[in-house]
Amino acid sequence: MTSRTSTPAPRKDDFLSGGGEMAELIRSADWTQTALGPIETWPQSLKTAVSLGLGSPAPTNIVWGPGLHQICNDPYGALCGAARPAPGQAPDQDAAWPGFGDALNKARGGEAVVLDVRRSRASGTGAPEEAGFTLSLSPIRDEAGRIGGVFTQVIDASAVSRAAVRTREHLEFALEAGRLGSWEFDIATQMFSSTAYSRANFGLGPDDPFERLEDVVARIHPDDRPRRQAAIDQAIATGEDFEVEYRTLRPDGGIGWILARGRAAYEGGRAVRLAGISLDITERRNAENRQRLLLDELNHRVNNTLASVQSIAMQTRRSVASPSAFSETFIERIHALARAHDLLSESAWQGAFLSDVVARSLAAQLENGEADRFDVQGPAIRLGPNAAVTLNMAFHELATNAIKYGALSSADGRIDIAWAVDLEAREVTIDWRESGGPAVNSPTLRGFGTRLIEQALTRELGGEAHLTFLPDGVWCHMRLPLSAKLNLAA
Amino acid sequence: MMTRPLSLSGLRLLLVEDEAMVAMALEAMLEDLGCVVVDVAGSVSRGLALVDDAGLDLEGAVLDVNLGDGKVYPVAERLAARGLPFIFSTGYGLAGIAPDYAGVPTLAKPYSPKALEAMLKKAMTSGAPKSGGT
Repeated sequence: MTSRTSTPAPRKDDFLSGGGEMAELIRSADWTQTALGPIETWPQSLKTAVSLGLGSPAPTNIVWGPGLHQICNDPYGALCGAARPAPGQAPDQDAAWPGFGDALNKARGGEAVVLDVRRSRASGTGAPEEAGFTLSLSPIRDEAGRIGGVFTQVIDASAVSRAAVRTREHLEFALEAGRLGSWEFDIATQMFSSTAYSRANFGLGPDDPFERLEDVVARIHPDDRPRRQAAIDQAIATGEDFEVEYRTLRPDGGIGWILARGRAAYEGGRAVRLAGISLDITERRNAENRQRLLLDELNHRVNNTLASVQSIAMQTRRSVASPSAFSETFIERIHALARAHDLLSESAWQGAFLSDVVARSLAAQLENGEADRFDVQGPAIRLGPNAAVTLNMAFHELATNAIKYGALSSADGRIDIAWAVDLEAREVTIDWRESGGPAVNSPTLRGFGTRLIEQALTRELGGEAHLTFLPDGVWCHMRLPLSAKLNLAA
Repeated sequence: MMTRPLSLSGLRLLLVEDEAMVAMALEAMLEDLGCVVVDVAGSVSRGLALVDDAGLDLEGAVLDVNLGDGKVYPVAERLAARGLPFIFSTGYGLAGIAPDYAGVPTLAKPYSPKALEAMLKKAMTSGAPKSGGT
């Protein structure tokens, strides 16, 4: 060939370059004693196969000629450990790979063979572990078209599946951390498969039936089944994701809430599978319900307060002589109502103490330093919100009257408020006694005050109340039954 | 069709309301309409006792829906059983009324005297709702 003169002659073993440790072993081996003969006499097909094998990052092994001479690469050698075949050595047939002998014979007959093998091998930690391998054997034809040998590539199936297991573990961790259930529904068989969390979201354990469509549907609130089905049908028709929230019937009789998200998978244009996740949103739903109840309650309270303001306006108009007197009295009463609300806000509208209601009604009328003008005595009495508002209004009327016309209108007058509980009669007796003041003749207390205290208050709380205008000052006497509205503090 | 204007004058009513101030406003409005407020009950139990008191000669009632000791429906049922008309009052809005009583005129708080008059007339004209509910 003329090319030999025009280009530098290639080295006889150029096909071995870059072949690692094994290439050196091949180069230094004495092939003259083998049926393969010296390297420079090897057929090109063998050289190409060896070059391919040595250059592969995957474990490869070539078996050549009737003498079954092996030439493997470094990864294959590492896989075999101490049993690494020396260049040219005949394979120990089934010792390394059970079933290899048969597979080799088939491949030498011209057939491509795939062999799955499980065997132990050294693990990363040194301890032997069971591992899976896939051997792919292909015949190599020589220049004459005859099968000269067999090229074997080993795939470490364990490495592939280890990567898959790691991916799955990450996914499972993410699902569990998010308390996400994962599920799949086979449309042909109408069967569900689902994770433990998916069942747990329905309140179910591993043994509860949850595979057949009807088992799953039975766990869904009947009112919500059509909505869920419509979302799924829509997703199948459009190929879009679906997201639906529905109620579940828990085994303990309770109602839960599930958020399900998913999409359909198609084969040949037909939806064959649905897959997705589910999330237990019962707590979120309950919180939303609580909030709605709170808003309803607030709405109720605002409307009732407006009705109270309306009432105060009507009552005030009826009991005052002039528009200017209306304005003053009305605003004072609105302030009294606001005071009751402030007091109730401090306890999140759970109620208030009678002593606070009385003391604040009086303090609102008195200057600082006048606290000795009145005395409050009695055991701790807890008032419900409505009772607190009403009694606060009653004591406001009494205190306003006292400062304008009664005991607190003169320098020497004082008020003693005392109550006592009769546990046998289940009632509390409250006395408001003014002394040292002028004789009282208050038009508003006689009108609105009397109506509020003697009628409205006792209708709300039961019992009786009397307002008496004595020469020494006003005496208000109430006998109110103990109830949820008014009781001894625990 | 001509109808004789219905008068509420002298109509004997029971008021069930658990907040004294609110009850006073309603009482005053009813009195302005010429009605006689026979009594005011602040609880379901007191309301039931008053409905059963034949001596009161009740002709109807105004019922606050939410009372301290529960919903007013037992009182409504008792009134319906006696064939007495009634209207509801509520601070919760119409959504708070049980479906069994959806047809009963319902007055929202705060009160409109005109609405109160119209609802009372409607209730007196159509009579007591069917008893029982269920």
